[in-house]
Amino acid sequence: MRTKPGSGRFGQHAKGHPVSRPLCARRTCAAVLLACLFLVGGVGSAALASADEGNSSSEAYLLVQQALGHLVHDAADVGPALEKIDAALAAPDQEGVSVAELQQAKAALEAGNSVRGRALLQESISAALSTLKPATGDETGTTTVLDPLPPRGGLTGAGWGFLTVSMLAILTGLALAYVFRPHMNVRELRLLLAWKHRRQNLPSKHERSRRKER
Amino acid sequence: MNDEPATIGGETPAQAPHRSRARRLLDVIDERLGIGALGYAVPEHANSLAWSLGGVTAVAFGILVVSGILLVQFYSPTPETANQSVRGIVLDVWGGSVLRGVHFWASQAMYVTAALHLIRVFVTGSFKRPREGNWLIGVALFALITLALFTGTVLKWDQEGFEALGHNVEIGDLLGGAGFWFSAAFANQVSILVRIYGAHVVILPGTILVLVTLHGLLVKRHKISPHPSLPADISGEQASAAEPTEPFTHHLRRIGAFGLVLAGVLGILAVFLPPPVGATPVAGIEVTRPPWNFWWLYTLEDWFGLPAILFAEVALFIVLAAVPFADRSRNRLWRRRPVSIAVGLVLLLSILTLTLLIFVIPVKEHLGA
Ligand code: HEM
Repeated sequence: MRTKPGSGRFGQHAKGHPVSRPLCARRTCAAVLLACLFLVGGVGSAALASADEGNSSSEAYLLVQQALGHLVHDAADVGPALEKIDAALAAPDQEGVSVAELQQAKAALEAGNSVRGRALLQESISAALSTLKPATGDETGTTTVLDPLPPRGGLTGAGWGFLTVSMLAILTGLALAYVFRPHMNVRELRLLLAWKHRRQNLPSKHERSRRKER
Repeated sequence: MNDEPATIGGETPAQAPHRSRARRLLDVIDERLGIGALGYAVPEHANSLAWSLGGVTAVAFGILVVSGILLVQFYSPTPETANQSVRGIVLDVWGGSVLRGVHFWASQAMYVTAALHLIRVFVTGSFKRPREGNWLIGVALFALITLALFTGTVLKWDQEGFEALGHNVEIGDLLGGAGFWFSAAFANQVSILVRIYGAHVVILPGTILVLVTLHGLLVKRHKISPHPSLPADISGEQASAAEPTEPFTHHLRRIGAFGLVLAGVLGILAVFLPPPVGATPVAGIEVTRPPWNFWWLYTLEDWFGLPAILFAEVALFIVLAAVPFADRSRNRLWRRRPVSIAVGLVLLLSILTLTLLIFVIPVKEHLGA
């Protein structure tokens, strides 16, 4: 059996070349800064909506993994998983996949037994998974498709400890923020500055008495 | 700004014999480390919460670095083991769940406080001459924070993180050569997860640290901007000399107090709302939504396709970077800047609306697009 690369990947990605344009001298700095921002911010954060993956896998074990992914995400809706199983059954490359188990899995899912269906699906690709090389590039490296980690139950002793320390931190912080509060808020500062301004513009005592004399 | 003398107590040598041991020790330290120089005067208006948001962002960054260093001890950055190692942190490492929760919630806090700080600086016109350069450093910082959030999401190597990465790779391709780093083909002998890990634990925090240092030095050099509703000095660029001041150390201790509140809130969130760990990833399906910070892009993608994400992000950062060049008047008060405030408001409301629209968009709509 030939060895497979480590599980699924996004697809092929061509590399191009960056384009540089002459810029007028005055705006060079701004342009360079903007370019950096595009690269740093635009590219990276743009990346975060979830992916529009093509479903063009031709390897059956990948399609079975996709079926498992759908079941893990929504066990109640077996439709998408069945579609993937059908695609796997029709796939040209079925190396490392037990077609018999796959068909049993399909039957179990159709009969409404998704637990057994999942177990059979996972079992059906064990030969393919055993030959995986360490994942490189954008391969998932996934062998067993695990459920999301269930949320933890009640609070443990340590949990209570962390809560107590956190509450203390909040209370201390609030008390300190009050003790260290600014002496004046903006309204008071405005009044103070207006008063100082008026006093500054007022003629000095000496000048006022001279005016009176006149 | 008048720097205080280099002694903490500011006492004369004649008073020296009467000083306590603690005070003498402080003086000895100060003489060597120059801590007393932190006592320079800062205008009173800078001590409000709104003008301390940058400091609170810095505290969140500090919490992220410390909790991140601890997490690195238990995390394994290979595709075969990453998801399992995160589960191990949550289930098997003492305090691991809280540690991970604090790191996750601190990242959310840093994103929010940085955005609020940006909004404060915008509304008070604090980006105006001579602080335009520091605004641009701030915009770059915001981009880096967003990137750190993205790379962190990928690290847990679950379906959500992997789908996010899928977008990343496709956008890298859209950019052609400029997106080479994001392409898996760039270094195909290693997993892209390892490179993302390197970016998350070294490149991004390192660059943020350098830029935050520059940012802080520039704030010190330009001094804090005048409050728009208080009279400024003749240049219009500094607070009036008549405004009362307090030593910078008082500003710092107030930020410390806010930071303590923040740390406590993060602790409570970490205990009650630990971040989830999703299913181990499968390529070729799309069943998750991105984190809330990116929902507005998800809605745009739903309407216009994947390139919309790239164009929207680039447009946002162009608009942000253009702010100090577009709004150049000397007016800092928001009422006297109707156009820029209106544009800012429209931008903010658009992002909020697009964010909320995700609730009416079905998750699977992009499949097979
Ligand atoms: C890692 C993120 C950031 C940190 C730690 C940070 C920290 C700070 C601090 C401590 C100050 C002093 C005043 C204050 O706290 O309000 C400040 C001022 C400033 N920040 Fe930031 N900042 C960050 C991001 C940003 C962003 C995203 C922008 C805008 C795009 C920005 C633009 C500015 C400007 C223009 C000033 C000068 C404001 C003035 O003099 O009133 N910063 N920053």
